[in-house]
Amino acid sequence: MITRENYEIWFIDYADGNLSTDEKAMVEAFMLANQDLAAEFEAIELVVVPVSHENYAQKSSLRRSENEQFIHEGNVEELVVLELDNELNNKTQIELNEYLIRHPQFAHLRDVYATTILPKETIVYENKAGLKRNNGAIRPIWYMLPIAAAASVALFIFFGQPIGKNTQNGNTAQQNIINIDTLKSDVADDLITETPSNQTADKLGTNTSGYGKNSNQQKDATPKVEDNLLVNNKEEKKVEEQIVPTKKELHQPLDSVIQPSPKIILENHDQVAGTITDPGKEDNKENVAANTDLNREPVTSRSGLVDLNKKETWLALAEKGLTKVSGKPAEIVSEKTDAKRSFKVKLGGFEFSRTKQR
Amino acid sequence: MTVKDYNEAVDNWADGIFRFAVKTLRQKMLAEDIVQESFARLWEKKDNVQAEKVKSYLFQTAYNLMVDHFRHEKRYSDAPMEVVPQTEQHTPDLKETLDKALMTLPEIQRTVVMLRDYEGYSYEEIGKITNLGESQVKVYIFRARQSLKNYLGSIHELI
Repeated sequence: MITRENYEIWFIDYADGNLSTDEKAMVEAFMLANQDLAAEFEAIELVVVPVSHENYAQKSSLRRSENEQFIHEGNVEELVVLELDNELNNKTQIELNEYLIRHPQFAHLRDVYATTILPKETIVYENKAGLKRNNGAIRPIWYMLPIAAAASVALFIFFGQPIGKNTQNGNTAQQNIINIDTLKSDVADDLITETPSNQTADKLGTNTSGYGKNSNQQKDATPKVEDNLLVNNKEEKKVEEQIVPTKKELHQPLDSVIQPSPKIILENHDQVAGTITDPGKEDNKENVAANTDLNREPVTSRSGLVDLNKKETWLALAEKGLTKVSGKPAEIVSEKTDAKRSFKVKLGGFEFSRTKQR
Repeated sequence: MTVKDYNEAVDNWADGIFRFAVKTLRQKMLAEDIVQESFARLWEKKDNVQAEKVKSYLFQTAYNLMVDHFRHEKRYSDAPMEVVPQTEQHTPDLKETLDKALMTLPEIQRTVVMLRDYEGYSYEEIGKITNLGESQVKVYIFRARQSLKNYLGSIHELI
């Protein structure tokens, strides 16, 4: 039954020709009774797409005959290409062979299309190693500390290239001396102090990068480094930024960065023996015998130069390198007595030592 | 797919992917990017890719990346490129001539014929890589070989 609530459906069916004769009459009677809906009915009729009566002109080319051959002049080239690419099944392959025997004028097509096969090229991707992956294992930071320590010492050995030769009387040395002017690295900048040659030992101690008794800044600048970091490029860089002090920090007295520890003072050539100082003590000379090697010779008279012939110098450099790499206070202690020689490294809460009996 | 399988895939298919990309794009640095991106995506999906299907996954990824590049460059079309036969000072060898002929093909024809000849894929496999039907692949390869044949014929006439 058509009503004003469902008339749209009836109109659409009427336009699509889906209604019987009686149903069509019912829709027409409804439209007469509801003239206001006539415009809506005409609008629906307008959107019906008329039937197209176009014909396919090449219908005849689609027809087949009883004697139709599968392979003919029109498709032999295509089949030769398929044969070239091993895409023919056995039946078609046999038929093609027979066709080409019967029609030798097409036999040359095999040779012609064979020339279109692209020859193999040797092109190598060189950076395969960069594509490979490990298993993404997480390595704790402590795992790398011994490696970092060894790398620090190796780094300072590399930068401590000799220029001249050291003489017995402490005159200007020529070998195993780092020259400020020639070194360009940040590490060298950290180690070398620019002190006038006429300064006293005390002043030298004050002006060195923390190697002095008068440093009194107690700022805790040691950055915190989390253990168990995921080792990848981004995180490594971030960690490195955290643990590597800035140049400004490095040129501050070292006590401001690390805990006090016995250090070597870089004396001028007028001093007979070097002195190991504990920045926490006023009279540093009393601490000399406690845990140090007394046989230390003076450094060169050239100001700001470090004598790399001396074990003490290397110990100090290694301490500084470990501190810089790890961000934790480092301390290296070497003891030598008549009975034994020992070597102890402290790095934050990590400690290892080696003792050899004489 | 394990990490070992992934690294083996690098050894086995990095050259092929690179060759495919270089020959298609004709830009070495862009081809290297395609290789790296393809393997990066493989690594992301390594848990979902079976080891025996790695090759087709890589080539499909590389192909899709190159299509994206072409779309971005607005160069991807089936229209043939202009053929400019040149008179050479010396008689070019077949490889050199084929290389030039290859560059005259539309991208899709060049792609399918390279996958067939350089990598040995079947028409069905090429269809899966390029998201084409097997019959489409058949048609494109046939057209490509016809074009190459005609180019070689025209060069021989010039010589």
